[in-house]
Amino acid sequence: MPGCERVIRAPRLTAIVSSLAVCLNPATANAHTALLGIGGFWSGVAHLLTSPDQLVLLLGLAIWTSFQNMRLDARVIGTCFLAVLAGAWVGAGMIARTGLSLAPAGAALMLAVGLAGAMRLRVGAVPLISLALAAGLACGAASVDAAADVSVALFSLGGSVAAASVLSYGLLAARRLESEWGGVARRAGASWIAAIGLMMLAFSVSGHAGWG
Amino acid sequence: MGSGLTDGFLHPLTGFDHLLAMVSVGIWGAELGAPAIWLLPIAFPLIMAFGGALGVVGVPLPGGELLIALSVVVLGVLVASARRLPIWTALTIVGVFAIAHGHAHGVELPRAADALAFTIGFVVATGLLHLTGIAIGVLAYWPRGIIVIRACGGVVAVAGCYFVYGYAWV
Repeated sequence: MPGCERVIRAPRLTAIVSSLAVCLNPATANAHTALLGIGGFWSGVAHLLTSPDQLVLLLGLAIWTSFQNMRLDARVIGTCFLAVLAGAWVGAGMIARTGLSLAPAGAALMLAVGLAGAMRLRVGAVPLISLALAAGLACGAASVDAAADVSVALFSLGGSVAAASVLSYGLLAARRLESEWGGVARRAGASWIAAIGLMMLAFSVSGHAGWG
Repeated sequence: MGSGLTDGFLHPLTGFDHLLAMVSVGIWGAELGAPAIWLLPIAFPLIMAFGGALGVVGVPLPGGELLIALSVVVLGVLVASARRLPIWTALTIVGVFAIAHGHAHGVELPRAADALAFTIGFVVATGLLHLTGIAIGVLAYWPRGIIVIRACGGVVAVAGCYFVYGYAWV
């Protein structure tokens, strides 16, 4: 019935016109100002997402975890979330004062998770959770130099959320590759990560100017 | 970060010796079939990184450039002849060449470059070259494809001879 169609369309049109009017209404630009006070949170998120060493480590962990029992996924993500949070506090309290470099530890962890994934190493909960804990602590503590002018609490929370998100999306993607060739792709990816970790370890030992 | 990634990515692509050797590894793996088709591309980056690490920490590799040139000849001949070797022999051959190629990457890495970005770039480029080789190697499932692949192997071997000549006499 044409009449009914008009009745249904009229409110929709009104809503669209009203929305456009609201959007086009000139007002003060509020870009970023709404985030005042929680800037540290977004700094934490952005720092992790723009740190390739941490991203590669977390992706390596996701690939290796995808070869384990699916029930462990949530525990790995949860452990990593808490470990990044704790790591940032440990980093702020200890590493910032001592100036200890975590680059070799991060590289060694990258090598470990990459090798384990390339070999499709199946382990129990304890070794997997332990490595997730170590990776989270390393990511959190290594980030702390970027939290100089912001709240450590919000920064670490942002880093934790970002780390848990990267792990979750990484696991979602890796779990979709359950076919034979998908498994090969995951192992090849893990081997790339192990290769990068090995090179990073060499850069740490040699004191290369572009690393550490 | 961006320039380091680009430099690293282009490093294996702009050196014809590296490029031909990496693609040949993929083709040979495809010719050998399972498990070599997936074992070689998984093992190669790791062994190459080991060579790269040796280069970065300053361990010399005598005759490294000659080994790289020879790798192109040997891999070209193996592809052209579709030689089926036991998996451990294949891994050893590829491993020795991977160390030479990795060592060159490690030594040639500029001091000022972003080391992590450079490494990610060259590892990913190497992996993609293997993938290209495997895609070409899949042609072996067609009778005419086998001829094309063997011809490609011959061309690679001739190019390798040119590299060896260039190393030894120029």
